[in-house]
Amino acid sequence: MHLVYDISSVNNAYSFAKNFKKRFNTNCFVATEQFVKLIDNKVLYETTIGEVVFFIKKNNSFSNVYYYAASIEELSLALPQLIINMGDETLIVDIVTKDELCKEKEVFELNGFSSYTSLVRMSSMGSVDISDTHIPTSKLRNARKEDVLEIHGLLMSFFDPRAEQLPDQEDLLLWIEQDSILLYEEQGKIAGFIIYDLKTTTLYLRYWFVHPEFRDLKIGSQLFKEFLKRGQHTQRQLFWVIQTNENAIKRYLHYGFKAEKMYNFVLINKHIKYEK
Amino acid sequence: MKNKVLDILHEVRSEFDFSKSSNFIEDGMLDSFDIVTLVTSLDEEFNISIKGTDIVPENFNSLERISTLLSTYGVES
Repeated sequence: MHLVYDISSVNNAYSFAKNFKKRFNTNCFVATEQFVKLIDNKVLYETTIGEVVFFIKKNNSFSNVYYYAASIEELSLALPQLIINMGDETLIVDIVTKDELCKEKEVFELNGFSSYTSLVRMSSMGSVDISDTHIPTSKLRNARKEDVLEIHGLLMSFFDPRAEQLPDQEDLLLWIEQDSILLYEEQGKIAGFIIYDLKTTTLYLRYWFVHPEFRDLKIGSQLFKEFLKRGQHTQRQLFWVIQTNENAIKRYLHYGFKAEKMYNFVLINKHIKYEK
Repeated sequence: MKNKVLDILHEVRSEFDFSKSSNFIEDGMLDSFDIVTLVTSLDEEFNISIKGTDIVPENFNSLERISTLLSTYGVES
């Protein structure tokens, strides 16, 4: 296994696995700029086993596995060797699929992985209908640069990096520059926030958080209504939600969102439970 | 060829009118998952194999750019 120094390694892996013409398969949907950042930070490794190129993203206590495989069969042949090579390391693999019973998931399960958590994509279509009752409070504001440390600390404390890709401070600063972090302030503290991407047609909710000390005060709904208002001219509004988070799903259904047939299965090779 | 590409784009994301956008990525109509799906469909439809080095967002951000890419693989317009 060797460190990746150049984005061309990723592009070449794509070509390598596709060239066998055996129904190419990947779990790698990472945006190019994110890959470049991983390479710059020297945390991305590569290894080729048979007809599969694996990329390993090293984190503090676990590694994410990405693959470009010539086929699912080739993946099932190569995976046992990867697991041996990785020794005792905790491995996480994300499989994004439209098929709830996907074969890639089975391949990993047959090799000692089990479900850590799973997410489903929810969306609503058409322009947003803003409730007449939404009067934004002065406690809502855009995040500023000086909020970065506090927001980052909350993300690290209350979100699970194994289950979700969490932004670093640099990512947060970019969102702040785009006025894409909405805060709710209470008693001088950040009581909640929403981080989102707003594009011409699409409003994408990335993170929605209300601090446990401030729950049941309708802070979440204030944030959410303001978020919807900001994207009211988009055609599609979407986000991923943990499938076991029934309360959140109920709330989203209440706002008119529907679950898509789009899943993200997070699998792990250790007996660690998702508890967030 | 452009009509076929539009049909494929419609299969990938049926909710959008791709003929009205000049930048599918910036407009939020295609994400990285959609691009991989789109590449597979274009490979199958036109019997080509788009190289990994060509699978970059810039090549898929408009109908024109997709057509230009396909023409480099010998697909006639």
